[in-house]
Amino acid sequence: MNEIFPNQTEPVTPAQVQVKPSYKVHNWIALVYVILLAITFFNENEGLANILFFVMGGFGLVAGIGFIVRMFKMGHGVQNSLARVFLYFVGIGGGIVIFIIAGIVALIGVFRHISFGF
Amino acid sequence: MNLAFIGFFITGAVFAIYAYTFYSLAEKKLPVFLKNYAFAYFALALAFLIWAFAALNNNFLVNSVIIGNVLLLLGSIFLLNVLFNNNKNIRILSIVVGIILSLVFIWMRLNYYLPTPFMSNGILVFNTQKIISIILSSIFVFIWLPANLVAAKKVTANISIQGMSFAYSFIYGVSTIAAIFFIAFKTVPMVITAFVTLGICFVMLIYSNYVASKLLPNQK
Repeated sequence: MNEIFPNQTEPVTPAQVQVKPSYKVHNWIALVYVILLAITFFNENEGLANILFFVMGGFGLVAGIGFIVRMFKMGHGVQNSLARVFLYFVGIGGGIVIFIIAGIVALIGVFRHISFGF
Repeated sequence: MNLAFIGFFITGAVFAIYAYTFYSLAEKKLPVFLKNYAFAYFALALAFLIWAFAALNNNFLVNSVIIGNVLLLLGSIFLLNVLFNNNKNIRILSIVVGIILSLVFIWMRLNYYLPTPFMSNGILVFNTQKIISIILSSIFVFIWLPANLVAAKKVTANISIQGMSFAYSFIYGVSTIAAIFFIAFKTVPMVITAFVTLGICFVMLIYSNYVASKLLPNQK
């Protein structure tokens, strides 16, 4: 048994190890997103802000779809029916929440007159 | 139609249901110190219900925001019990510091940053000053978010189903972010959007309590 794949008795193969860094990629994407958001808040250039908001809106929409797919994949592999339905539910609910948040960003990107209002 | 009353009343009721279901869980299936977590959400629920009634009586708006802030700070102090449960000395110190800072905050709010909320097309806009907004958001980021994640970890500690820990952490985390947006936004479309987000999050949270109550073994 090993720590990365608890149900596996054989040693981890190099191909399996390559799967793990994808989680690190998510962290980097999140970091880039936050940096973009920060730049957008503090910059005075309207054109640049629009482009950045568009990019972040797109990022968010992809993240929403990715989240739904991920939760459905997780739920699909679960035996317990209550937990499975819960994971599907969180997938849909969480996806909608990410869509809404991404939608805010995209909306502001397109229509700058709708400000965050901070 | 007073949308603010309906919205705040429904959300307050949802918060209260969530707090109650979590309190029941903490009594039977989770460590007892997590009752503090439920108390924090009871405080938040009460704040929302007060804002609901303030939306009907505009003379009460300013006072309702101050009372709401006091309840939010009270909830945060409850959450310090959750965050520092492992170390008694740090817990007591953090609560004392928390109470002192809360008093300073309320004094600042009464003397220098008096709330200026207003009603716009039936929507209550807090119109929070930037510095107050930053302080409240920081409270959510540094107290409510970590405390939510601690609660998520404790709830899922005895559920050995893949993905549950991630799902709980996600819901608890995103709910805090939605709450920050809700407090920070000043324009009507953004307030409505944040409200919808917060509502969806708390429906997921209530459902998560039901699932946990079914999947967790009894404590005693």
